Amino acid sequence: MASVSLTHLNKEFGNTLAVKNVSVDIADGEFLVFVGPSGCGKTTTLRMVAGLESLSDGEIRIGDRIVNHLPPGDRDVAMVFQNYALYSHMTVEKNLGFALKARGLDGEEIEKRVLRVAKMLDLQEMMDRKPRQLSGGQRQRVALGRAIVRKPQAFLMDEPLSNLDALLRLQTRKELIELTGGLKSTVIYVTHDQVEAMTMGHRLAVMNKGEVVQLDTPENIFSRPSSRFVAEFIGSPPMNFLEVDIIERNKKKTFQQDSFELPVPDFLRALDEKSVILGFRPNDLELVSRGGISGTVSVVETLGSEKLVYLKLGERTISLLVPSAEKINSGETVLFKIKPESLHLFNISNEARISFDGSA
Amino acid sequence: MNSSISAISILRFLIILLIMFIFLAPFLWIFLASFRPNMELVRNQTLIPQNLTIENYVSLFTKSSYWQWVINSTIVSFYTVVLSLPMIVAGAYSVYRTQYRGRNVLSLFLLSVYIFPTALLVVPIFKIFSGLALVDSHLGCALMNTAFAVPFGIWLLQAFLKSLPPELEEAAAVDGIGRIRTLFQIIIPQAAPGIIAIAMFAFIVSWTEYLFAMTLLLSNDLHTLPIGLTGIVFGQYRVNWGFAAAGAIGSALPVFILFLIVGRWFIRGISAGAIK
Repeated sequence: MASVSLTHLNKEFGNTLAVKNVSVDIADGEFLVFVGPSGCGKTTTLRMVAGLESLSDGEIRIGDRIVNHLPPGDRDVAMVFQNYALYSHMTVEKNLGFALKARGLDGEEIEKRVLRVAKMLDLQEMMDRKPRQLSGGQRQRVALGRAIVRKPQAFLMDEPLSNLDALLRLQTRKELIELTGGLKSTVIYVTHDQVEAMTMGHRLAVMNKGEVVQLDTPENIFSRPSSRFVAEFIGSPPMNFLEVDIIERNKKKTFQQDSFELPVPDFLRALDEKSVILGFRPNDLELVSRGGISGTVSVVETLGSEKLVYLKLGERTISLLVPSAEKINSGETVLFKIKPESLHLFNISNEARISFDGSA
Repeated sequence: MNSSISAISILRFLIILLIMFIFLAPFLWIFLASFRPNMELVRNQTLIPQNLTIENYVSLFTKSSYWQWVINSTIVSFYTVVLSLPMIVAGAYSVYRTQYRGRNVLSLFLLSVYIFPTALLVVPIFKIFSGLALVDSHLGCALMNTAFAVPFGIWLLQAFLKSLPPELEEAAAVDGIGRIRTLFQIIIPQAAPGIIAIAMFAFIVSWTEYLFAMTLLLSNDLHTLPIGLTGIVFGQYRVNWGFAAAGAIGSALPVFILFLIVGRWFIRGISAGAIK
């Protein structure tokens, strides 16, 4: 396995800049996830690494080689596609061995490698079957096997789980983490599913409009999102946002918007903005019997162990998570509190995070 | 309620029957005519045959050069398929699965070969072919048929190629498999039903071609079915309709049998890409 280094990558399609100045260093054995909404440039970035898309500008290194102008086959990477791209006229065994055969490996070595991978992925029983005789999960494993058997420098995976149903996706996700961890593989993984990204990645590169807007560990991205976009995209259910004014009365500062009023916590006293975007996650709110902010319940969704409650605060709606034992009905007026330490503040004009502890 | 539904379905059935009859009537008429004496066909035009005879078929199979024409038509059609398939597959792959400058213009001009009335081409083609010693040869005739089968064949195959996901070639490219190997070992096997359909199309184009066969094949022993049959059906003073009908059935039969064997591929090939 090898490290992969992307430096100032740009990709233009006609007049559109699909990928803007993307620089990411992926360490040997690291699992890096590009995550973002559709059209954010994550798949294009991956395809540039694979060599399926040319670069408009920048540099890609795999190991110590610059691969900008190398054709895909000479980059020594393996790719797993969203629709698996299995060769439907070949058996599982032939699918697994095809690339090795084309590369001129001898028959014995091919057989050895194919068998090893088949065992690893539990495919031995279906070696003589054609892809159409396999379930979605099995096809996905064959696609993965076809990549592993090549022993490449890095794995590139383009939403490989998105064609699986929910339960199978969960199971395969776990298997994929175990597998790539065991192989100590360098993996570049693309997904629009933030849960997948959070659970699988050692680090995430959150992308929006062609740019990497934050590159960090899942924990840091969740707890210190660099912008409103990241805060909204990462975390489920998504973070609540309220545009509030900061009013000072009798030397006490308060966040205020319509009926919403919240004293500015002591550690935020230094804040000198007139208004900010306040962010707080649904699980950082709690219902109280007195002394909280009041809201009217509009919808209650039962999620199993929790309920997701939508509250109307004047014109706006926020959501909060409560234990499912909580008795709560739509139309009710309830009081809630926000844990002050869980507040995120974003700049009104550029929506960037406002740091209040000295770090960004 | 029930009675109205059954009335509608009976009506629908009758309409389908009528449409089927309109389409099948000419074939049915020819089929029946092939078993009727010529005199009956000329004198009284009844729908139901009065007398049945196999005389027309006996004449066709024993007194004409039917078998020779079948062999000649098979040779020309075989050449056409063998010549046109590689060009169609390579052409369709190039136009619809690869990127290069001028590709779109090329694909636009693909069907322009059909804008000339074929009659206009007969004289110049004859002249060119006689210079190349291709007149009075099955190969020359097959070359002409190939020229007409290839552009439309490419166009037909595109629907099939378009239905294959591009990731197939991308996966092959990332795995280091060359273009030619990808074409032969991945694309062609995946597009096999479409390619079989195209082969069938080229075969039929050649099997039924009349004008160039008539012009280029001068010797009697090289004549294909359409030429041979026209020669004997239109006798010197009168048309032998019963014989003509038997000839029509006799020339359609080999294609019909071929269609029975590979027809399901043909249908699948033609309808590829229609849905989705």
